[in-house]
Amino acid sequence: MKARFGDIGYFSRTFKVNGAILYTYKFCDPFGFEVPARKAYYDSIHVPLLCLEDLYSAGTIGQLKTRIQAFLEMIG
Amino acid sequence: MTATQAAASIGPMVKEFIAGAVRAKAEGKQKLAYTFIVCHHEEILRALDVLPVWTENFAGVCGAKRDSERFLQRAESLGLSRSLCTYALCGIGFDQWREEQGQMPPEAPWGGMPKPDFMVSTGQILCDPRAKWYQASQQYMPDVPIYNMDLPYPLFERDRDHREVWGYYQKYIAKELRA
Repeated sequence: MKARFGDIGYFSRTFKVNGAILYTYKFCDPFGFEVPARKAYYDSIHVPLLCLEDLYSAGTIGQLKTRIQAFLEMIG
Repeated sequence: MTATQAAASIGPMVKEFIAGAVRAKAEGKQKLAYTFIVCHHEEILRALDVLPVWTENFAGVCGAKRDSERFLQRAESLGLSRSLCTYALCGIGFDQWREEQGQMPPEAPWGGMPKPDFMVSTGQILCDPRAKWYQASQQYMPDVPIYNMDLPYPLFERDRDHREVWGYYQKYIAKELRA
């Protein structure tokens, strides 16, 4: 996992992030299949993660706002 | 042979692929490799006395037997979206279940899919999940290595002689396999 996602850990430390958003598009297989492994990696480096699956359209902007606001409130 | 006769012979053939892999696993004499159809991996694997395990076919069998839903639901519970390739989701759900239990899921279709010794992924024939499916499965069996084999499809046009480029394909493939 470190070999595949170590750069994420490096950037998380460098930028002292409080949380991360894993944003994938529906029906995108190359990224979609990464989700469980990435979740496990974020868990191992103790960075709170919000997973969002979205359509490539502006029509979901309201839902996105709510989800991200809620996430920001959760991580304080 | 008629088309319907040909279609009827597929069932027993695929059944033997799956049952044969389960048998080989139990005997423990042959290495097993997860791999994908139409990638020319089979000839190379069999030359190495490795038995291919066709993960796509297994998902197809689960679907044909109306028994894929439980594996799809399991994949979804792992964080995989339902909008992804359901062949892959079925396989990953099955793998995770088998690894969690340390044995085949109950009443696994046609005996189930045995744990492989290694997995051969590919980016061939424009099928995106083939490059990521086994990485996702590896999450649940981290001791199983993945190798990637992308073999080129030689160009073919009926009215052109391609023999002069054959050697380049051979060189390319040999180099890739040795890497």
